[in-house]
Amino acid sequence: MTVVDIAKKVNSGEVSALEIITKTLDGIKEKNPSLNAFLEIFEEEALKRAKEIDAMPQGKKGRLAGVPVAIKDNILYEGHICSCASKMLENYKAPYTATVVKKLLKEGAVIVGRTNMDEFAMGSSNENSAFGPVKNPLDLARVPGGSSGGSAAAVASGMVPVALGSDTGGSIRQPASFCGVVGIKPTYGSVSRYGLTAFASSADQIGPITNNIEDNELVLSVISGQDKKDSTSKPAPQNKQEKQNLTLGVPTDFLANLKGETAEAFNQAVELFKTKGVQIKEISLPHAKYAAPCYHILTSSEASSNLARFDGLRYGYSAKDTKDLEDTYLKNRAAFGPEVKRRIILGTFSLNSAHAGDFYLQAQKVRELIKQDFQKALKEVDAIIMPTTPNGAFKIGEVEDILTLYLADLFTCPANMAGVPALTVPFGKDKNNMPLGLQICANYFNENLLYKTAALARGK
Amino acid sequence: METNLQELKQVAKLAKIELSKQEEEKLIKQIASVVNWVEEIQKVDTSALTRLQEYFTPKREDIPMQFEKADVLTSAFNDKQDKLLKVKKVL
Repeated sequence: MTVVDIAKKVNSGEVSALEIITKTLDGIKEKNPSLNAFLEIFEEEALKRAKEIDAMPQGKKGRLAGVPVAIKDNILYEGHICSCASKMLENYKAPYTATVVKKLLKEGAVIVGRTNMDEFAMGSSNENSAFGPVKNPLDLARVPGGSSGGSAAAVASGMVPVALGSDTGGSIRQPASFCGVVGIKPTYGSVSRYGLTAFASSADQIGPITNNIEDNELVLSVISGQDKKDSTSKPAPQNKQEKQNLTLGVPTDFLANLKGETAEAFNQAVELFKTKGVQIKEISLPHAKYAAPCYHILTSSEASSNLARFDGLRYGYSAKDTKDLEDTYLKNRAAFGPEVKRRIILGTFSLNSAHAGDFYLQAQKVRELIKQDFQKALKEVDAIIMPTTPNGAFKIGEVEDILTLYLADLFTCPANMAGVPALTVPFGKDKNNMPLGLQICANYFNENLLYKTAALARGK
Repeated sequence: METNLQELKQVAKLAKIELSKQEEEKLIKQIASVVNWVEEIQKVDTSALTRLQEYFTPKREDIPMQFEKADVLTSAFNDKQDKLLKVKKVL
């Protein structure tokens, strides 16, 4: 059942929340052992909460009444472990609840568990989890993408109708595309990050992954909004313009090297839009090709600062038999996995005063040019379309070269650097019959245009 | 490249990341290859941008707030004495 259906039926009393949740938990127990998408199921609590929702008056159970939701393991839910799929936080219990989770609970949602991910949200294959890789539900030999791979796999396998992910350089859209589901990275500042374990604060955003567009829009409307506890959050502007005739931009310069099934699927999407009366216009994003390297410098720099707090003194992994404080820091921080170590070292290097001008500061400037590219293009068109990823899901263990892995985020990084919202919707298949995604980017707070364009791509 | 390798080893120490010999061999080389790749942004002409401070996320005012569950935080300390965090000798 869809999110929209569950909420409607639970509210009307046609189905009980308990039935929905019991069935969901049974499904997770059956499917999860082969997928490793969930790190923990909150069974007892979910059942208790379902009963509470059933006891509420009909029609007043909330906009997400009885909807089972999975949360990525970097989002805090008081009293529950939040490990960021890291040995560092394996036993860390959240001392408070994230704003997004509070908002979901207020509307009658039931949090059924926490999903696997790349450690500290760093990765694009989910092979960086300290608790084993997640399998793609469409082909168990393949990766689900990352870093929100557990969330995407949980939705694609039908275990839950919605899961929250977080996206710093493509971590919602890339796994959603690899698993054939819908995922959105909302406008920077539109969803509160209070209670999201920070990776790179100037880019991190929380967003929903769902099986369809309507569900995605509903869940995003619940979790959005300004929050005093996240000073970067902003209220959405009032009086949004509803567009009747869309104009979509194709960044031909950025997509010059597109090939194979990705190019074919994208060209088919363009043709489909034309048949729907959409005007297609060539646009230019001259600096978008620098978004991936720019992302790696800036987010690693921020991560080196954000992850400095994990020293294993106040909480987290604590090594035995250390000599002194320095030795304690070193032994405790050995709990980080290789990708986290790589990014902390790269970030510390980029911020080093000897060449911060060539790396961190230059990357900030290039980021500004990327933003300006988007602003200029979005004056001419309502939204920009491009593939979500250069290829479909690859096999687990197949890609060892880290630069090749980093390029999986080639098309998703620009939206994070510009702060604009971007959504992926399944469109086409690769030669292995794995799904490909169409990515749509719009101007700040124009998520409604993303959903409208996505619906057209789905033939509606 | 060689300068980068030496410097990256030094940077790892500053970031309190201890690498085993084996790890150092692999990780540092990988990071050096990433450094080579990201260096391409240095080709971009950014001379038209002059007011860089405007491009950073604005800082919020630093106002102290009360966190009502301080005891939950202190209960997570790995070692403590009364309410205080206990650490190994500094020197």
